[in-house]
Amino acid sequence: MSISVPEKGWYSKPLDKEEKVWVAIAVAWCLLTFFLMPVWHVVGKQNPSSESYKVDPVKFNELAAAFAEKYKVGEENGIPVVRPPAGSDVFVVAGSYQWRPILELEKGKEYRIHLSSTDFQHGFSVVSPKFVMNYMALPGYDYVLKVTPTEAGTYSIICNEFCGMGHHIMIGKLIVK
Amino acid sequence: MAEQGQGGLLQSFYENMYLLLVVGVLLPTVIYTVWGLAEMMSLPQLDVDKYMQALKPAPSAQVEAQSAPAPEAAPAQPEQAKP
Repeated sequence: MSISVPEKGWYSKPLDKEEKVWVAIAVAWCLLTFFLMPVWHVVGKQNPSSESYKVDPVKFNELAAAFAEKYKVGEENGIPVVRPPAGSDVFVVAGSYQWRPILELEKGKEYRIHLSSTDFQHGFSVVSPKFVMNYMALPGYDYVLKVTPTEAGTYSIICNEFCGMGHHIMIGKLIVK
Repeated sequence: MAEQGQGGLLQSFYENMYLLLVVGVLLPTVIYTVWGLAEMMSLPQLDVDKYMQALKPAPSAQVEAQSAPAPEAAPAQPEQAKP
């Protein structure tokens, strides 16, 4: 239904050349972006994997604590610094405006980072001058990221999903050596 | 080509705003909400015990701890004579 009723049979009139060109460009662009999605997922190497699990937040917290205890090499402001073996499963938990533990990863080695939250939804955002990677940490769900750090350095992890009064102080750390 | 005065099935959606409303609400509900809920419900459970087991100390360390000499037992107290 339109504001003014178009003349009868308007849809049967052939398109002029200019309109055909614009429709063709729009359709071609739609198809290109549509097919680029799966292509980029494979060749882009920066898309998150689709591996997720349900998990009890209390159990995940215990698992992350046990992991931190086993591979702890230090402590910063009460947060354990852990150095897990290359290629291992790594557990990071968001909660109470903290990211626990601080990870110390080896450059060029692949890790499986299990990410979850104990309270609210948080945004796991790895910030570097060159890139920003964003993922979600949800209570009750474990999100597995396959990560291979390619550059050494110290990266900040900030929460990019408003989670409460302490959202702005929720800053973690990721060290790549 | 459609006949004069008729625009086919798609045109009938455009010309009926209530039908458009139904399609406009139904499509995102199914594609986003229903699909999302179905995906969330079909997620497997994380095997926490498996990872917990792996984080426990190695069995050799446990064996060593078990085979370590036990502290000498306290000498048995002589039984007191009952009155």
